Amino acid sequence: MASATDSRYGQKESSDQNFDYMFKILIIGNSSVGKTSFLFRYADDSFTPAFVSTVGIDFKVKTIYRNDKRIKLQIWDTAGQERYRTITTAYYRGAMGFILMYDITNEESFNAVQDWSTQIKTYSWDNAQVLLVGNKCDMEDERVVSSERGRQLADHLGFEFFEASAKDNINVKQTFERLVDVICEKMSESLDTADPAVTGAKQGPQLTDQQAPPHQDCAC
Amino acid sequence: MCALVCGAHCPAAGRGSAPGESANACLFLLATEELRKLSWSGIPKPVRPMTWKLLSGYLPANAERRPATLQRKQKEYFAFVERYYDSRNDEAHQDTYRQIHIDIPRMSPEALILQPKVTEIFERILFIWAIRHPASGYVQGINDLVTPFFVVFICEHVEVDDVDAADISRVPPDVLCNVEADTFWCMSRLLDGIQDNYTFAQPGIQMKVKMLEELVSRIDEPVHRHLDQHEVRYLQFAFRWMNNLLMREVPLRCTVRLWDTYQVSPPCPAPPRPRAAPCARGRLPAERPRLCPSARSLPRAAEPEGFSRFHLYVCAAFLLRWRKDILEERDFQVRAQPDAPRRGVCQGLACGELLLFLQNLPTAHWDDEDVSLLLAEAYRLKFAFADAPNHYKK
Repeated sequence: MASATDSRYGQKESSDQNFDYMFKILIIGNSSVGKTSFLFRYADDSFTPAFVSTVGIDFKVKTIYRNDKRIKLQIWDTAGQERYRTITTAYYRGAMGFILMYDITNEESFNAVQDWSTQIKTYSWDNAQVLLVGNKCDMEDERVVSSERGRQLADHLGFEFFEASAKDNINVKQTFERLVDVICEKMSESLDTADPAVTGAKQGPQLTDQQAPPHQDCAC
Repeated sequence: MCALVCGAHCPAAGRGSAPGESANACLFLLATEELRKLSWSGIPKPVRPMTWKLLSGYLPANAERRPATLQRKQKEYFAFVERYYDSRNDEAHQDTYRQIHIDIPRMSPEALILQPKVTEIFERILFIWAIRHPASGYVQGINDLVTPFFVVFICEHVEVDDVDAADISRVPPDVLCNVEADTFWCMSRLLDGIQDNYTFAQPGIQMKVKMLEELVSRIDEPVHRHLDQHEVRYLQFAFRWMNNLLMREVPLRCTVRLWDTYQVSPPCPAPPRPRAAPCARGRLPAERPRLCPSARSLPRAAEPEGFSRFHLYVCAAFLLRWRKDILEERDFQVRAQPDAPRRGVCQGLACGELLLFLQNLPTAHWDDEDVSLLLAEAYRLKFAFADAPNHYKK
């Protein structure tokens, strides 16, 4: 069973050396869909409506237990504004998972999902796993994107789908844990096929290089 | 100092009241090198608003011309507002307006910014600036740059010490209008010098981050190598330093002190500019033509290069201020290394550790003295390295 390590600050947690795998995860999506709030809810279990807007890219670390393994997550929180794309897409390489987020009360952020998905395909490595998340599902009165549409789009893009609320703490942990599971599944699939091109340092993301040794005994 | 004191006695000089004869003569001297020298080491709070307006070139040095200039600039700004602000919901501009609108509540100091009157002022200033500068438009981070000007200028008109606690709704509307226009023009002038930070692909920032890297590699090779070994990229922490001029890294009071100095070009230690330009691999930004034609009437106005060129050295000094903390990570790293198979993983972890530190530097307690030390060190670095591109270069 997954259990989150309790820590207010990534700082403290990150100094823990004892883990089996490290995954790099990116959160992307339009400006103000709630990426930073989502990350703070997950990493610090806190919510404030008053986060400052993210500039460039921010960073947090969290360790979880999953399938008897300690997994350290490096989570990169990106700025959503278009002008930052050049900077943020530079971080796509080496990411093993993406949380692509829109705001269920904002049509435009939903319409941009396709575009974000193209960005992922262009800049990340082929095996990167993506979850589509419709955030702010606590704001039912202001909803403009139905769950059905979210699900359909996710199916169409081949992503798994969650609706979540960073504010009310709905599906936040589940989203991250599911993403970790999907990454693990993909990893063991790759190992099963014993294709060196997959297990090796594909496209040279440095993190994947680092992942290589522990991959050898991956059992999740 | 006399000049500055005179400035303090005539805060209303620009507001229509004719300054006295001696004050007039004294103020005329204000924008001379003397004022710039004095401002370098920090401007006393009572004269800061006036001094900033003079140093930024917004106010003419000649006190007699100030009331007319102010009136004209204020009129000009509100003519823009009248002409453009209604278009914020047009299709062409709605994205810009929306971005500004959602960013302002996500700023600090929250208690000030969230006052409806302040929010409106920031929205107007940013929107007008954005549509008059289509090459960059509004980019997140520009909003932060409004705050120091607004806070400094409003401080003249509120009685509380902590501007965050000020109730702006009690400031008379005409005064607030003046503060808004003054803020707009001073911010515009600052942005004229760093606009390539915010144009497509943000070339100004990319270049400055590269230059920072190059500079640090010459100034402090061990720190540079340490960052490199731990796979910390300069862009990961210094992007924000450039994009927001360190405003996200230090408390607002420190930014204000920093800008006292930024607004005066640092006294140039070495000979003429052309030779000062090349900096090893990167080139320092070329002297930009003045984008603001009104600047021509202000012959002694500061080049706002404190915000562009000198900022780089401040960033280098800022990074090296944490030298010990950064290098201490090495011991941590060495301890981690005996576990040979995991070596690569540990490196990645240390990267996280270092990056978390660099993205959350412990500056909450910083005061003027910390900034002064930082500036002194930055000045030293500039003196030693700016005009010596091969100094310590391998």
